[in-house]
Amino acid sequence: MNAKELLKKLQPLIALVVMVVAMSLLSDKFLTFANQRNILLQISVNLCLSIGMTLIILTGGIDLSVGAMLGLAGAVAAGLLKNGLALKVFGVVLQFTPFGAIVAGILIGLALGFFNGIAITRFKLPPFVATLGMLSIARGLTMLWTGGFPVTDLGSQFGFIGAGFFLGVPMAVWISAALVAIFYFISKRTTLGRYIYAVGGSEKATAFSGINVNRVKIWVYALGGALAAVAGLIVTARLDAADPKAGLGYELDSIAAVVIGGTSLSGGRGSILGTVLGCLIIGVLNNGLFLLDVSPFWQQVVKGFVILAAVAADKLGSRKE
Amino acid sequence: MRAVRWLIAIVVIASVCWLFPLFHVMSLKTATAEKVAATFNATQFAEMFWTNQLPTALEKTVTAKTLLPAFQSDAAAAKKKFSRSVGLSEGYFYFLRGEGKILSVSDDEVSLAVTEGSTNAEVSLQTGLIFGNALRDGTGLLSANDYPNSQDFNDISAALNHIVETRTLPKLREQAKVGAKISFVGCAEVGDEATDLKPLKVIPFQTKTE
Amino acid sequence: MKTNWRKTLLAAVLATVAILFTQNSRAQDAAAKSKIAVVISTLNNPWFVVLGETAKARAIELGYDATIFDSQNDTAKEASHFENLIAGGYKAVLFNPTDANGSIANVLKAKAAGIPVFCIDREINSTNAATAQMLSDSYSGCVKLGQLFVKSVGKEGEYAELLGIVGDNNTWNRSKGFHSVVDRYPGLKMVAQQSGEFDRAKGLEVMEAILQAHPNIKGVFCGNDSMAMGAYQALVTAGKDKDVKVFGFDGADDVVKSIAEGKIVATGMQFPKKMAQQSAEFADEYIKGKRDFAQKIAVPVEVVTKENVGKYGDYGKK
Repeated sequence: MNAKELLKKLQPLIALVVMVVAMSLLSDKFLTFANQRNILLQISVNLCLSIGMTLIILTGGIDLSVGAMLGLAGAVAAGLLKNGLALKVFGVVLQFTPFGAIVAGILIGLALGFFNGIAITRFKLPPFVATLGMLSIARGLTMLWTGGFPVTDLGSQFGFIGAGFFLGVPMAVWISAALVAIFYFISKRTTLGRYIYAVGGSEKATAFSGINVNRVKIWVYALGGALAAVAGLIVTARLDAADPKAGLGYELDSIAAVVIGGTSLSGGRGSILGTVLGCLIIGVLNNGLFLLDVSPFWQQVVKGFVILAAVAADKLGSRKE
Repeated sequence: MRAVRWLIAIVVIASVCWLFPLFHVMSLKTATAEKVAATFNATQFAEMFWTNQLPTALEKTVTAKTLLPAFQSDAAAAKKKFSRSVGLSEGYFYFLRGEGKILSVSDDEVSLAVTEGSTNAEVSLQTGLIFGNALRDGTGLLSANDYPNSQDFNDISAALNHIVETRTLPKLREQAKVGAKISFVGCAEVGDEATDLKPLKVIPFQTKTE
Repeated sequence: MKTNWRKTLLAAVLATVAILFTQNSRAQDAAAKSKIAVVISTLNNPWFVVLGETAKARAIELGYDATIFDSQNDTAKEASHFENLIAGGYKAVLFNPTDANGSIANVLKAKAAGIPVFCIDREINSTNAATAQMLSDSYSGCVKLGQLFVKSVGKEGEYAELLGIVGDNNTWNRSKGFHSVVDRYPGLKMVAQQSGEFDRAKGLEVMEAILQAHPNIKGVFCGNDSMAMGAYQALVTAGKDKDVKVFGFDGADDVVKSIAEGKIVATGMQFPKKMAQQSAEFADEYIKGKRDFAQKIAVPVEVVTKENVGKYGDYGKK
């Protein structure tokens, strides 16, 4: 690997270091333990979404439905936990345990993601269109399931995964860190991981070499859905409420994190670790703009420019090669 | 080999579900009953308030004979001494009782003269549709601070208004004859002193004709 | 060549940070002052901007340093704001909650950290989380509007209702207050009840659809003024603005003006400035040692009509 390539890989890291140094010079609150913990807690949801999004973008696809799937999974889990599932035919109610609600939420995410994958591979829909459809379907189902009202008062057992602490660090941070480790391993050390990069690099070549491209894609979208569901469970547990509007617009934050982390939107190039850096950069930026007392209106403008700058850097960098 | 793997997977999943059950089965009836018990029932609450709390509060009322001359001579002083208000509201409530002679009866009000020898309508008992919070807020017995969800508190208002409309008012309309003497207990809301004091618009809890 | 653009990018980032820094040197000057946070559900509606800006201005007047946070109608974003402001050493929160239930956990977090929270305008469904809640009495305001609705539309005919966001307490407090009156008149028939999501564009769109299906409506009751303006626009386009009476709620400036011009019949004036100022004063009193605040403080809503419109304006009484 030559110096040029190395520098390119380290680009998100350099940006993060620059921001951290700048922020710690500008605010004495920035480097405190409580503040650092907050940053990690606040990016945990976006991190879960972005891990899945990275895999999807690596295959050359995109998933616009992650925010809506997050909302539905959270709402379903909360509803099953709070009200149970009434089976009128048998005259019984299945009262879900917190564990059962979590499993159900993740299965919902997995199923929705699977549906995305089927729509894209079997029905040959462009990922943009297929997941745009799912965005609307999942949001509508969330509204139907909740009647438009938040489901609240879910109890401390369920709340633990979002609001609890383990060794002084929030559970949500542990969960997202574990997912990063697992999916880093999957992407770098397993056959599925190699296939994902291969599909994104050149779909035709991959198919020629006898790999079932469709199967890889279905897996990736299903995993993306399951990860969105985990994010939904964390959001729900943190707030002790499943808001039917939860996750509105989160797909954009997630895509931003992936792109800032150096993953190419055309697929095949990028990594989970880059996405972690991307999430951290967005987290530090949000936190820093707040600590510096920047008006909420300016915050949005600044964030937009940072995203543009990151993508511009990526584009300029690859043109030279 | 494949079959063995599947078998192991199924056994593992089954034992996890056995150790950490996903759900418990409950009968639909008990579950619904629990849910109903947990939700606030404004009608029931208003009923309890009507039969238990309200009768004991009647001594807190001011008599119309004291109140009317008081606000006629100095509205601000009377407001300070006898009224109560909620929150940052400029409007206020009187909780009063009194007796009077019926001067006129219309579809939605019964006008009374209260002070000795008066021929003006000084109090108007409202007998039409009842709206607003005079009954809930006027007595000082109920406070918004006790209700986590203000929708519940608002429902109490509607339920109390309904009780008055269905129990107090039909009797009053039937018995109210011009010239008869009548005693009443009720609440009055004063939003605009220019119009609401002359006559004082009272929503009655109880009325009695002699 | 390659390192050039990268340097440029870094310089740009640093320059941005530097600009922000100098722009906000006020924050540094005021390091000695106690800080008060103003957390607002959304800044996408001018009414809430007024609420937030007024609270901030009053806090600054009282000698504090104040910052506004925009929750963008997202309870998760709101949770982040609360975590940040707890870590940031804020002394009090003036809070306009995003959701009556979903925001409770956030308030409890601040309470656990010993930071008082004063709710403005919207409530949370709890009596032991916030220090005090100053709530617009939407229900009673809409009872009065309902009575006026019956008086001006008449006791018979078809009408429509535009609801706000369906999960919001205020939506239902307003709708229930209105219906507690109007439903008593069997001649008045509600032919459509749709959500305009408190949004002007959405209100316009929903009203257009309603007019297609029910051309004979005589009145429309809107859960807020943004939707009322949208509905009025739809009526103008359909040439029915003279036939259908529009009622709003909030007391936004453009609606108060429209009432004066006879375009909209009435609105419920809430007092965002009064509530916001009061909340800042409460926070000041709390910091100075006062502890006994009433939990829920109702702020009355006044009905603005063509007759009394002269008394109102600028988000309150003149």
